[in-house]
Amino acid sequence: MQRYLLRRLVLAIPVLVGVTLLAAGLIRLVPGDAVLVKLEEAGHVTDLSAARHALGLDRSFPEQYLTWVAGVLRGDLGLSFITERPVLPSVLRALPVTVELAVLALVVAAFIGMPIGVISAVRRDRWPDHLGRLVSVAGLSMPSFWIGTLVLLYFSLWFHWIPPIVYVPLLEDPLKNIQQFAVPAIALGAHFSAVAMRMTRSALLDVLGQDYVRTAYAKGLRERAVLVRHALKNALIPVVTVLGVQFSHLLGGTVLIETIFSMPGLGRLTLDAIVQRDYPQLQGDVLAVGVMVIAVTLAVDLTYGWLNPRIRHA
Amino acid sequence: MRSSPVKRGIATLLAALFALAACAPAQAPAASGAPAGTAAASGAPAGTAAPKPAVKRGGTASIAFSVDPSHFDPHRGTTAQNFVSVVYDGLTQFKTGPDVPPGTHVIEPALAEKWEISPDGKTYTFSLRKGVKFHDVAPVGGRELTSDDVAFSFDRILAKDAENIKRGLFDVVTKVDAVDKYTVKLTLSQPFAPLLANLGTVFASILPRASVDFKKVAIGTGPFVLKDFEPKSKYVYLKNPAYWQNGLDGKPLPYLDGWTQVIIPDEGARTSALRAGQLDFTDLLVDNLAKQLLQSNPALVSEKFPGNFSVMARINVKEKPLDDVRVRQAISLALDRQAIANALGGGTGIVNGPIPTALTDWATPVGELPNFKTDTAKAKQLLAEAGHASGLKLTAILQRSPQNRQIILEAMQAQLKIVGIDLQLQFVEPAELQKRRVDRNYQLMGDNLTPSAEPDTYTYIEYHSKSSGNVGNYNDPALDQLLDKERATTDPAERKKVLRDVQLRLAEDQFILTTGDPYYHSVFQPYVKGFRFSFVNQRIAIKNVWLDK
Amino acid sequence: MRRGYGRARRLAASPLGTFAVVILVALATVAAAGPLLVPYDPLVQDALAQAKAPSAAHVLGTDYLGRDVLSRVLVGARPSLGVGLAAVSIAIALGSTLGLLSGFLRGAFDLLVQRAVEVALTLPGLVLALALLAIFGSGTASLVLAIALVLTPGITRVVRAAALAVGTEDYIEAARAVGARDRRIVFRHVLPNAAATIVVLASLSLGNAILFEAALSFLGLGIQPPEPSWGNMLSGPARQYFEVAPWMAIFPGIAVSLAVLGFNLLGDTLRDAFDPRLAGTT
Repeated sequence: MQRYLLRRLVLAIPVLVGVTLLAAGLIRLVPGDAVLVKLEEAGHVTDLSAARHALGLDRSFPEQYLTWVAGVLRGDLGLSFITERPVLPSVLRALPVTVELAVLALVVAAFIGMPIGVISAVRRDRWPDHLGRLVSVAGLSMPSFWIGTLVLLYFSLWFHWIPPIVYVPLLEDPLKNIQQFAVPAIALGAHFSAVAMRMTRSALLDVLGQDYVRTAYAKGLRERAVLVRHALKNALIPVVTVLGVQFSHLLGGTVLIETIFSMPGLGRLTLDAIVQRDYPQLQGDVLAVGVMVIAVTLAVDLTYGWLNPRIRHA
Repeated sequence: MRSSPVKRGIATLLAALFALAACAPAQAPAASGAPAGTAAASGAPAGTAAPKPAVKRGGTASIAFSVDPSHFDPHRGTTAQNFVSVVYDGLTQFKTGPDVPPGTHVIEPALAEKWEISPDGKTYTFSLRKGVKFHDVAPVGGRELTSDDVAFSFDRILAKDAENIKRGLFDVVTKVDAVDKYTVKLTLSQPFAPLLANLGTVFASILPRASVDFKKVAIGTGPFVLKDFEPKSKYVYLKNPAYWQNGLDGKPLPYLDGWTQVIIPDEGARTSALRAGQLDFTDLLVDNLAKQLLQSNPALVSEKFPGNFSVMARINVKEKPLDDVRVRQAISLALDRQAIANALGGGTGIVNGPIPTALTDWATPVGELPNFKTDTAKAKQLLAEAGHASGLKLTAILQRSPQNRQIILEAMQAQLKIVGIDLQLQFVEPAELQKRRVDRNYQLMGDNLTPSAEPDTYTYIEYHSKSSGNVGNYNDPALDQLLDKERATTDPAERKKVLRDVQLRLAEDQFILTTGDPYYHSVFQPYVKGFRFSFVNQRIAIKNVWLDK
Repeated sequence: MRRGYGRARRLAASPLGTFAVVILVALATVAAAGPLLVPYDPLVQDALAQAKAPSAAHVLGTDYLGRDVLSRVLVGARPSLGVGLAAVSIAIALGSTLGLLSGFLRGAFDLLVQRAVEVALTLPGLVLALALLAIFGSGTASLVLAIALVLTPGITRVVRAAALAVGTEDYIEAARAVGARDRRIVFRHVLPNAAATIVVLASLSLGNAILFEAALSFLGLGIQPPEPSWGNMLSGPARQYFEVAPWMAIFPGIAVSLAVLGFNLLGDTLRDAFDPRLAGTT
């Protein structure tokens, strides 16, 4: 088990390097740099080379990247070009917001999608199946930012209530925190519930057709018992896998939701870093995102192995 | 230029009259840049003997802003000011408060309790208020303000730093002397009418002499102390218990114990938050949004005022064919500015000339300006004369945010099409816009003028060939002469005449296509009292706010 | 051939599939004939009718410059769908080729492609699209290219898996034994059998592409005004006006949702139709 973990962690490194290298390279191809952004409407600029030198922008790309990597290995993610404050604390502050949002969205997706998927599978091709599929695909089809904007507007109009705007960490005030995250998590999660539904349905269909299930029926077990005892546990496997794969998409979705609901998460941080050409900030954000995705994928693989002993690190 | 003794005599007389009328001790007369009146003593109501409202002290308030600053230095860049306007004071300030009618701009003493101007107008001697304390924050630790701090601040204000964008407001100052502990002398290269108004902006904040990074820390003399902040989330301010200005009840301002500035990027979310009671007030809401908000929440209170941001399209006159004044005039004649202003406000709006109409003291009525009345026939004729009878292709660059640029340029597109001009829009990111502004690489650019109480900011800064704010290659010697004259004319009535000539000339030149402004509202919960939005240089007058609950 | 009939029958019998086809046919009609159907010129501004609620004169209301919303939604179908189609075509072509070759040829090439796909998929698609658009500049071509590049890695991964599955089948071994060259095998045998997967993928990706365009326009990049696209109608001044004139953003949002719904339902139904596990049921 240890060896498996270790191997996975080692394999993760080239991915992290690849992702940060990609981000670092891409952002440097974009025209304009942070020095210009900081000038904010200045009409006359004399000599920017000193400012550029201070930020290290006059060095070659490999040099800039490698210096950054060396810093990362020391635990120093550098200073933001724009705010001149250290990057690591800003990333660590934003991380829990995005993680909580993503996790809650996944929970919502599972809670909405899986029951619908079960019903759809069990009543396949009859109207509950069609209705369930229509509803969940509809959720997938609506832009999540559109749902979010509509919710904010109509909640405030009809109920004179909106989720609390100022971020409160979970441990500080759980009630207020859940109040704040509930609506955004639903807006984001509704989007992904279709995926959960689809996977549950097809996995369950797959399992229900198998021999051991038929044997259980033959033994006289009622449908519900069969379902719970045998089918569901095995159906969970592909669902968990797919949700893990969707995690990266989910993180993309947080960018928009965080903007609308004013949440200070990684998505917004990354968006702003791109717009402001804040290279160290962007690289730090992308590193955090990469670590998250890899961690989730690893967790999914481990869960997969636990759920299905036959697959355990073959 | 009027002779100074006469002017001082008039000022003294007026001050004496006011002293009699107000039944309150008037302080020494201060020469004011605004023609509308003299400075009133701080804390005492101006003019009438209206009963003083009973203020209540205590409580906190929240307001929202769309984007947070990248740093806190008021002398650098243009985003910090909104967030540190309550932390710092200047030598002068604009009178604020519920008894100040909107749109009036009256200079009054702030950190300088009086000043004297030499007869030639080139030397200003400021006497600082005694006993003003900086915030009790390390390393400054609540010590007293002295002229040394003022000298230090002016070093920063005049620094030739690329990020010191507003240097042009002060660069006539050649020398700053700390004469004694409480006296500062400013020497100018020429008489300069806008000085006192410019000194009242957040760009002229007085900082303590201390070796701190003012981009990261904000320590001043202002009514509030910046206690805490979470980037992209909220900024928390606490009251300064040792503030020098008194409130209506005779005790020191501010009335609130503290307030929070919350960052909400989405405008819809900001209005929803106010509607849901999570915010106490918002200072700037476009007319149609405000009306809708008030309809759904009749309990909310609002105050309407005309804007003076003056969204416009800047022309780069080095680019052919825009170097031909006939082409520019044709463009102007093709526009239906009222329609554009209405689009900005969602139904109603005000047309602006070169100086926004909201600046009633200085703006020449648009009806009197040439080339502002829509005349598509004349536009086509001018284009034909300039050799473009078969049409013209132009490109305008703009940022996506704020959205008002898109509104005006889309409207212009349709209006220009009628006279045969094909205007293409190109959306660019802020970084790219900045680069093209600096390189002067554009034909038309969507932008807005810097809101100010000073007409100089709308004229000299934008159009003078030697101004650092001139980003359109404008060079009109006749205009330059008028601009040099307006900023040197200290007599308000005379200055107004010069500015009228300036505006007439600008209407002929059409260097910048001004369009209009919407009406804005400040909207507050019914228990919020004392707030009045004041369009002066990013200062949010929260020190006057008290909560009736 | 009997397999094909069974599939087609199942498709036709599925109510959701029929619904999807109806939506898509309607959209295709609107996209093709849009400019002919509009009651008003979508670019004409009426200064006296700014931000008016839906009425007899303007069925879906007007926007902040007095332009008719219905006309703009109808005309907006073409760029919104067009960008999606173009982007997905490129992505499918690129991704399928890479996936097929990678899954079939294996070896060093496969490893390289796998790693590249993994890296690309770790970065959230929207972030990647933003960076690409910032590099390419604004304009429809950039938008198409950016969305295509973002969709390609996902497509490569799925097609590769399908190619892997097919590659181990007996008839492929047989073809090899007979001496057929790799390229021939890929295109004559692997591709047709992976076709089902690719078709389903194309349909689902179209939905994704349209959502991407909407999201990018919401963030301020995308098809340039004044040409209406559903995405850019959801952003810009429409956001400022959303509280007072929600129809400006609601109807384009519905249009986007319908289009994406159509493509997703179609893909879903196709996937079910091609699913061998369901063979033998109605």
